[in-house]
Amino acid sequence: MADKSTTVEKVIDPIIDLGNLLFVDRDPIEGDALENLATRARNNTQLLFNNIWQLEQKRIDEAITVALPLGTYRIPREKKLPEKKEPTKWEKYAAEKGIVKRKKDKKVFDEVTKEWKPTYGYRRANDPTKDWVIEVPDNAEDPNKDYFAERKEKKKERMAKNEMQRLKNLARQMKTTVKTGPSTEKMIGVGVDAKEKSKQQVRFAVDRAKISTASAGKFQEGLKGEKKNIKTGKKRKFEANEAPVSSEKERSMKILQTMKAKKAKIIEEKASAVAGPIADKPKFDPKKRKSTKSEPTRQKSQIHRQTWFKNKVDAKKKGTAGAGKSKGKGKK
Amino acid sequence: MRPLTEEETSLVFAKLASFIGDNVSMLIDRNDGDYCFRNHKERVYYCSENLMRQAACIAREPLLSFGTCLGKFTKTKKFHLQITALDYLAPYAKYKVWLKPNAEQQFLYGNNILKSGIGRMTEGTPTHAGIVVYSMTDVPLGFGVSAKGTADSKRADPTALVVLHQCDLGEYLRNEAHLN
Repeated sequence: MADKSTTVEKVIDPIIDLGNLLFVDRDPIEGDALENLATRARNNTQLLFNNIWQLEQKRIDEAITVALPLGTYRIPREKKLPEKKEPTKWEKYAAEKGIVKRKKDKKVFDEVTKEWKPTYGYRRANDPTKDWVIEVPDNAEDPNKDYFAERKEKKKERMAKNEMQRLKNLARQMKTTVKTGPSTEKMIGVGVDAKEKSKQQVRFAVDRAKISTASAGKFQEGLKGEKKNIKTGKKRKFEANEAPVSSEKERSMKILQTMKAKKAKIIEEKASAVAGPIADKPKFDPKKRKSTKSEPTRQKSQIHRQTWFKNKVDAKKKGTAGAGKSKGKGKK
Repeated sequence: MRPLTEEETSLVFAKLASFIGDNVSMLIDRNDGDYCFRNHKERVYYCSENLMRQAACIAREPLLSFGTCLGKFTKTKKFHLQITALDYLAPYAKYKVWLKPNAEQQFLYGNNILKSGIGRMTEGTPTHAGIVVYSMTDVPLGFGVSAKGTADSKRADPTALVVLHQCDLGEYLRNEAHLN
């Protein structure tokens, strides 16, 4: 260590942030970076410590201390910024009215026991639940009422109300409404209304209805294009994995054979359907096409019309019969 | 891992038959040992019996793959072939198409094949048949479905689609995570 100098020369001013004890070396890399790395690290550390020594020093109990300045280098935040919570209904109201939260001490002096006790919670001072006696008020309607039970009841109600309000606030923050649960007004055992049923529920209902015949749906015909009931309660069964492969080979060969047989049938049908009209049609030939155009086939209706006109002209020449009568003649 | 059910077997064979026809029997009955099809996590694997028995020692959850994955069953129980099945489709392929060198990259990037990219094609290819795609140097590149038969494609204009892309070798890079 002794032979190494404490003065370090840098080509480009490094970034030194003493607050974060950060040193950024901005010199270009020369030669083999791996070899120079150790000496470079030492030099940089030396420079950082040189800067620390230049700070104002204080002696505290034989130890030299310095106060680091505030960090200037902005280090990115580790966690994302907390999302802003929507204020609760009370917080909104308090802000409106300008009500400020007053902090109470955690402990209060209990005059009865002459002791410092927690303000809230277990073993709190001035605990109303620990009263051994409650005075019956003068204007009491029913002096024999259990005032302890009433107090407990009221406490429970307050807790329930608070919980409800808390949930409502949560729902408001999440922009939803509190679900009120199953209504007591609805009829029990009637089931979901048909219009409100999901696709799956309808599917199940249909499946259930189909097997609800005397023969357990054995003779129930499905509609055209209707899906088969998949959930019949039967468990799927697979062949054993460890069985000898030779039997499996046979099985798959059999499947292949049946597939082939089926395939041949389809191809034959298709082939006949496709091949039929092609064989009847004359082959496409540009020379032939012209010839066919010159003498088009005479259709029956055309012949009929021609004879009708011929008869009409004949009748006019003779001047005796109308077209209606001659039509009959023509047919003969 | 389990053997295929009857429906599954016929689905797999039908798909294979569209590419290799009757040569499916060559995959079932082989001279060099017993081979079998296995369903593992809705993927169909084709492997030797010996390998299957060794793989059966590993529990379902940690077992990633064994043998060759031919393809997978979709949630609606259709069978899709994967590029890994190419090794078994290419040697037995019934219908083949050879690509011009400049159309190879287009196909390997997952595009359909236009007529202009086709160098050669098996005579008598019908439409909608499984077709294996080769480069001009006879390297199998992938497979697809013929959108036009040989006769139709001769008449079609150069920009017409002839082969619809299904799988190509580029998937080894693009879909690496999904292949096993």
